[in-house]
Amino acid sequence: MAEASSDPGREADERLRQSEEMHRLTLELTQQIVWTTEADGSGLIMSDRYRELTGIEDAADSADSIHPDDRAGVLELWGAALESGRPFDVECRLRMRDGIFRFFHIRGVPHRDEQGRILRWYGITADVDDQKQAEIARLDMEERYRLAQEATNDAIWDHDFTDATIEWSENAAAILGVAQLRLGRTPASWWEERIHPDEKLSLLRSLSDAIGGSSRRWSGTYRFRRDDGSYADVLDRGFIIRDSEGRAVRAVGAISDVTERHRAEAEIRRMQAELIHVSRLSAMGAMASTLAHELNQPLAAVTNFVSGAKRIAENPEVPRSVLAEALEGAETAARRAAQILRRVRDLVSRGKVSVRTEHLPQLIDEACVLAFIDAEARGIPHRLELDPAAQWVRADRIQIQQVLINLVRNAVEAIGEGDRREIVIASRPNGKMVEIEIADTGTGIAFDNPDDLFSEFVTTKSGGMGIGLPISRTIVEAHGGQIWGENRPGGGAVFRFTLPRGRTRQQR
Amino acid sequence: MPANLKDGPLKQHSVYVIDDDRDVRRSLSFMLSAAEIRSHPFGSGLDFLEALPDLEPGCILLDLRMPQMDGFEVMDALAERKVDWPVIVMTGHGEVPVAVRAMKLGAVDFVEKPFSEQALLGCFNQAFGLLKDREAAGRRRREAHERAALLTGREKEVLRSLLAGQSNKEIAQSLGISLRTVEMHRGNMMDRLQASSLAEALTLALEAGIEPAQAPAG
Repeated sequence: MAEASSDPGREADERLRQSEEMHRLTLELTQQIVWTTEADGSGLIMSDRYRELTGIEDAADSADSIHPDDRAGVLELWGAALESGRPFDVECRLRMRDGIFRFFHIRGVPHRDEQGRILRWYGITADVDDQKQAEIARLDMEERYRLAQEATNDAIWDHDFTDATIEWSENAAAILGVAQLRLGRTPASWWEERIHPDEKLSLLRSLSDAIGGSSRRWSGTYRFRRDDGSYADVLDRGFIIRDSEGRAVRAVGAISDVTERHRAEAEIRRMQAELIHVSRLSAMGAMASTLAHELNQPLAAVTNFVSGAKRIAENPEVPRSVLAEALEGAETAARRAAQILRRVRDLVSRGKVSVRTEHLPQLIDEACVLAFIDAEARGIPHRLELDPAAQWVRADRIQIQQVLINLVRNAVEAIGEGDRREIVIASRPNGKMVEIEIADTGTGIAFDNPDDLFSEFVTTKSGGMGIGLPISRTIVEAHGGQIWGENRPGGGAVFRFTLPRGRTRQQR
Repeated sequence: MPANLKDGPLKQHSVYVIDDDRDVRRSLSFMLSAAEIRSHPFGSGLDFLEALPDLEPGCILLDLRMPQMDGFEVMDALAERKVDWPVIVMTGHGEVPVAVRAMKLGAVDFVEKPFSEQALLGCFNQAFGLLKDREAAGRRRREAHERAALLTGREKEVLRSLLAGQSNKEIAQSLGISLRTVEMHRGNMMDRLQASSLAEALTLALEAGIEPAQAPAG
């Protein structure tokens, strides 16, 4: 083709002509370029398609259309083919009419006579640019994929739904602690068998729901069994690839081992719970003498009722109903003592932190038992304004009571001796949250920066540890809520916090 | 200590229970009524002070820890009103310093909650005795005042001089009157005070709050 001769002509066999004609038409239709040369490579003739594509009129100039970087290589291979008589096969870039290069696949074969001498070369040149670009893109993707995979601690998988197999990345074996993954491909069932039995059903259901639906993404967390029998906590995320009809054909994704992260998070939660518990203990310690006094009240009442009853029991003239009345009084007082003790025990016990749907008015009532326990606090008028639409919250009962007690005690201490003394505890729904408010008519917040309020060891109280509000914030935020405080326009402070709204079974 | 006070002096007197705790008030009333002691409950010091002018003398059983007005403030208010009824204070367990402070303010005794009936009735036994004494003293004082009010100016001057330890002669000299006149005033003074001896007259004078005369100059 490069050594084209200016002398085409010569004799040709009629059948060959017909055959060539048919080929030409076929090739025109398939957009390929057909060409032929003399046995020595001279006299290149190319089909019109070449001219249309490249804009080169004379086939003799065809070498010009080859990309400069490819040209020498192509000519060398052509030379070698002519010399050896072996088929010529090369890929190179050709310049199109608009100056853009496209990839072409050029193949040529020698046509020989009965003695094996080469008569002519015939060839076709096909546009393979689309395939080539796709191939390059694929290689590029694979490279990126390999790099990404090396950079992350994720095990990459490719789940083929058509044959129910999963292909695993090289690092999967190490990340998941499973030797078999070195094989590269496993049946999908093998993966399923490794899922912790407690989570297997729901996880596979969520995957099949995602596949059966129209979603593009799927994710799940579960425990995955390692070779040593232990379980890794994993986070699994994938993309679902669908065919033109929307059927899921495969999914690709990544599994990350979050065991360590979970362990660290659990440790932080444990330490937080411990800190909260210790602060409760210290708060109770500070209240100990008050508590002792307030416990003495019902105990004194019990003792008095019983003493009186004893005396009456010895006197047959007194009606029995008087005795019953005394015993009832003793019972009431004993129950009251028991209630105080129960509240205290709840607060000092190292209970497991458990978030449940709790009845907010009851939580507040119980917290008020301790918050308003002493004579001073009982003397302060307080009322509840609880919205019936905000009755249920998701909360750890004890921790939220701790927050309530802390905020109410702060209000009690701040309220002073003014004319207007009142503490109002209110609740109201706030979107998906419930807002709880403790408002007082005291001296207000002295800090310039409201954020300081919740900083540890910052206090304006003479005897305060400065730890109540930071602990309250820790608790509220661990519940997914927020806490803030501000001064009221008419004097006094108001503290508010939010908790996730809970739903009762009926509401569900 | 008599556990049963039925026949003692207590029956005629009341106990005023001041405690903000309803259960404590109710139980005390019950226990005291079983011991046949009349009691009147008050939920706060203010309620008690408001009712005070209409109350008969009695013993006060006072809780120290109360909202608004605590036990100490109630005792201050009583002192201000010159009410000397015996006060027994109730304290929490182990609040000795608090009890001491109350005793210094004039409380006659204290009980630690929870207390036994016996301990409380023991306190009352003593307190009611004290109440009786104080009432008698009060009566005597009122009587002395009434009688002293009957004295003429001269008679009172003679009494004051006698209180200062002066003899009739010294009195005559310092008042610038005759010995006979002094003797006359002294006799009238004894009559008006219904005193049968000088010692009795001087006791009455002290109870009536009469001051001794200044010693004459020179």
